[in-house]
Amino acid sequence: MSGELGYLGIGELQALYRSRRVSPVEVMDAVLERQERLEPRLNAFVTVLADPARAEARAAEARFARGEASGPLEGIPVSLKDIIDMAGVRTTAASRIWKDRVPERDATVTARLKAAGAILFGKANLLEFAYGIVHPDYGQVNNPWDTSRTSGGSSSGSAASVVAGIGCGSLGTDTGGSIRIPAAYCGAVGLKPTYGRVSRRGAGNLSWSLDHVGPLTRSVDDCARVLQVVAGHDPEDATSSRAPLPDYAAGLTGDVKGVRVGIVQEHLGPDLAPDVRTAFDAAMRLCADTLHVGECSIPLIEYADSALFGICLPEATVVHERRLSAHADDYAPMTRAQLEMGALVPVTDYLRAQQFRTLLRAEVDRAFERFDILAMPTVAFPAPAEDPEFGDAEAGASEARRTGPYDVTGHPAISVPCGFTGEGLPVGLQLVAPAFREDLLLQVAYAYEQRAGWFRMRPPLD
Amino acid sequence: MDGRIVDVDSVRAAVRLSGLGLSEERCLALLQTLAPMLDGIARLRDLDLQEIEPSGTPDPAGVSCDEARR
Repeated sequence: MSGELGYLGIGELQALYRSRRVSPVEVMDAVLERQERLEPRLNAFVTVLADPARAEARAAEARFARGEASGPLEGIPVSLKDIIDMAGVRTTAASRIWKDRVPERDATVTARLKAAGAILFGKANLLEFAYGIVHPDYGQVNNPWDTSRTSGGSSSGSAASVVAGIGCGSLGTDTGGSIRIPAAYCGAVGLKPTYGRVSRRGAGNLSWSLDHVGPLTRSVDDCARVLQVVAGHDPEDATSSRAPLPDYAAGLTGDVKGVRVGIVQEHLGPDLAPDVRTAFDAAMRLCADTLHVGECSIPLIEYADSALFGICLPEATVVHERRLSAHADDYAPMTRAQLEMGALVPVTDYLRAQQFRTLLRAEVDRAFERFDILAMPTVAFPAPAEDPEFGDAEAGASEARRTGPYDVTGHPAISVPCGFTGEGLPVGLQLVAPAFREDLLLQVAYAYEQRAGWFRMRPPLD
Repeated sequence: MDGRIVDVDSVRAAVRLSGLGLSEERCLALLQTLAPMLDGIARLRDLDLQEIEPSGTPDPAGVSCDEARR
């Protein structure tokens, strides 16, 4: 029973709550039972808030009984990547440095989830400070489809837990692909919104000009509902946008006839695993039934790795500089090395990377003059045994090669499941939209998802 | 390893990293291990970017910069 309740979507649960056929208490109990049972295999959570979550569920049940439940996520179990602040609950960032850090304020996104009625039941495991490496104190999050492999990163616990039926959604962060990469490895839906669309206040700064906060869910519909709640202007985030907020879920009709999809040729390079290429090609053939699918070229993508690292390394070092001086030995060795290396990037290279960002953004925008949506595989390969180090110029760069460019430019991007390898590992399809067109991005992703049906697959955990 | 980085930036690095309390040996060890990434970053020097204004944040629609200026 816990499996069935754990896999219901937000819309389904709310209908069941309103008709009093299922109670938020039953759902919360099922989610917590599932979390406890699967945790030894997944290692997806740093902190579980079982008692407060059950109390919230009882309060939600009472609101439904009185007909007073009005929040868009009323009684819906949601987790937070443990780099996003929740008042009174420790935020560890999966690091020894923050093992006892308890914030006094909610992050803006946390406050919005609470106001919408979501039940925040846990803080999900991640790579240390979202910087690409597992800290040994916290350990790797294992992939629900093959627990001998990684869930990816850095929002690893977020992706693994939602795919395992532990919560309807989780909020993650994405600096070079940290929402979309684990989404691809685990078969989740992961959306990195436009830079400025979702507030970053209280969501653990890694690299201020690359960081994005966004949802990981099992379906595009759930993704739209969570995004709706957390998106929108925040006066406490200087880079937050006042761009109008559409009704994302209302646009999910499945009708996307005539939308032009451009396959970015530079993302079909020789590093693509054959099974990934096969799944991607099949997805594009399915899309071609209703959409105009064509070839698109963004030659500057070749240099996007350089810009990603040229910006992320020094910004992360500046963010961590004081902690690094005082507690260097408490970081995982490779996190420490990457942070120290950021001090070696000449300021001229940092500024050159920012100049390149101007060029790349313009070139991607030019691609959107011919196409409404861009498409490519999310990652070149399926989940490996361990996460490639971000600082690894080959494997680390290859993992983020198709996600990082859109952190650099800030365009919104989503990963949706598009099939499996011969070994039974999920493959992700990435779609990219013009700035602030998350509505179109979700519409196309939804239409594909409903036709392909991969999102209905469940990992072999029960 | 790219000669530019070993010869010039390693010295610069030793100076800079002394602010983090690191030894010169540690700085050079970092360069040995992580030089390929620094070489990758240095690839941007191959592009002619001199007329291009840098973007400090992505700000894709030019909206958030307007906000920051207010």
